[in-house]
Amino acid sequence: MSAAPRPYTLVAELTYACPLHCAYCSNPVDFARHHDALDTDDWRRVLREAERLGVVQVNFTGGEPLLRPDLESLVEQARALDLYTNLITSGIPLERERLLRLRRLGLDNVQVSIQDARPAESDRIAGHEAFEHKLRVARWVKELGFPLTVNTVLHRENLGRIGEVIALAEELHADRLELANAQYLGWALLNREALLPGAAQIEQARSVAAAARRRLEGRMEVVFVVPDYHVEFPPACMDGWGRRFLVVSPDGLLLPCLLAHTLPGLSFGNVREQSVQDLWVSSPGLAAFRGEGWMPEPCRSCERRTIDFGGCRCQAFHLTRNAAATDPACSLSPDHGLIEAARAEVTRPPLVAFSYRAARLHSALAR
Amino acid sequence: MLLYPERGLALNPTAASILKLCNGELTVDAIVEQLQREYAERPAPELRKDVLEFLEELARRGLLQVAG
Repeated sequence: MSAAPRPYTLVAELTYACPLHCAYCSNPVDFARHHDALDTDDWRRVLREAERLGVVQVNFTGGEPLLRPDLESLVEQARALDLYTNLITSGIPLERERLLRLRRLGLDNVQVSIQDARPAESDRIAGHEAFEHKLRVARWVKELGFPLTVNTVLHRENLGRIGEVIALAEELHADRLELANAQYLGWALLNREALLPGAAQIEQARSVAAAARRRLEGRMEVVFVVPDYHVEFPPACMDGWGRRFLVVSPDGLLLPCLLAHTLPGLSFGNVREQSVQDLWVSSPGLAAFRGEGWMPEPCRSCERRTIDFGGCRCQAFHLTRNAAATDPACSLSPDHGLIEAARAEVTRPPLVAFSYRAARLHSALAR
Repeated sequence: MLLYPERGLALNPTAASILKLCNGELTVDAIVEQLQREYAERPAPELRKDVLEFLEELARRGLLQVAG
């Protein structure tokens, strides 16, 4: 087993509950089976223990973290530990008074998701009438002196409107705009046929984003994230398994990424039973894909193995049923045909409507 | 380490020294002058070039604003 590296970021998934029903939600498809098991004191202890391990940033996320009435107490604890605090939110439900309270308690940054530049399209993909309120929230964020990050998840329905999304972010005076293509895991994998864009669409959007990045340099950072299905080599998922990020799920599992608990056969300890430090160092689930010892060929002898760490374990499992396979997104993977086949189908108009994220157990769970 | 939304930059000691002097009051010349005491072995023009490059990089990333 490799020695445990120092994590920098704690991703605190406070709850999987959310008023929105986005068809590409990054929570597990069976999110409704995972209950909020950590109380305020548990989360405050998780923050303290993570800080002792070397963590310097915390992302409060979910689901919708605003649904936790104790968010204030957690921000206060994080501030006391001198952690940089990010709130990753849909902006629903939020009133100005609460945002002001969070500001005064030391919250550093707010990321608001906006699903599309147009109200009807935005509300349609979110399955919730939310667009107008999101704009109000984004304006309060700036008024109260926070830096504002706008995050828009991209897919075949909204990629063509990327220019409008950029204009909206400018109008909101966002400091950072994340144009993040959906990654096809969790709900997005379930809805892949309805959401996956074609290569031409990606190229077009990428060039619009690149022009905006140059034009807005120093004012608004524009980040464009390509879907793994359209790259030659996969990105370094989470900067490497169990390396820089530690994720704590609403039910208390200490994970290397948002979906690691969907991989069978791996055991991740619970922060209710063991300290964050103990788990980070000795959890068998974290040890499983740390370092290079687990790698098959072609990763094992590939010079990129220290750059991409073999890609995404969840993508490997959900496409090949083997979590230890090379990420099929890699053009060198023996399973790359699975990605090529999915891409080849994109040229046709989608035959299916997407499934909204909902609490019912979906048949896909049994796949 | 310089922390900003959802990211951080690990700074080398020189970069950290420069950033500590960016207080909205010191001019670039004043920053170079102060650094000269800490890094006496570096020629002033070289140090000035390093400072400018670093500050320009921060400004490109939107992490530094010109006071005034």
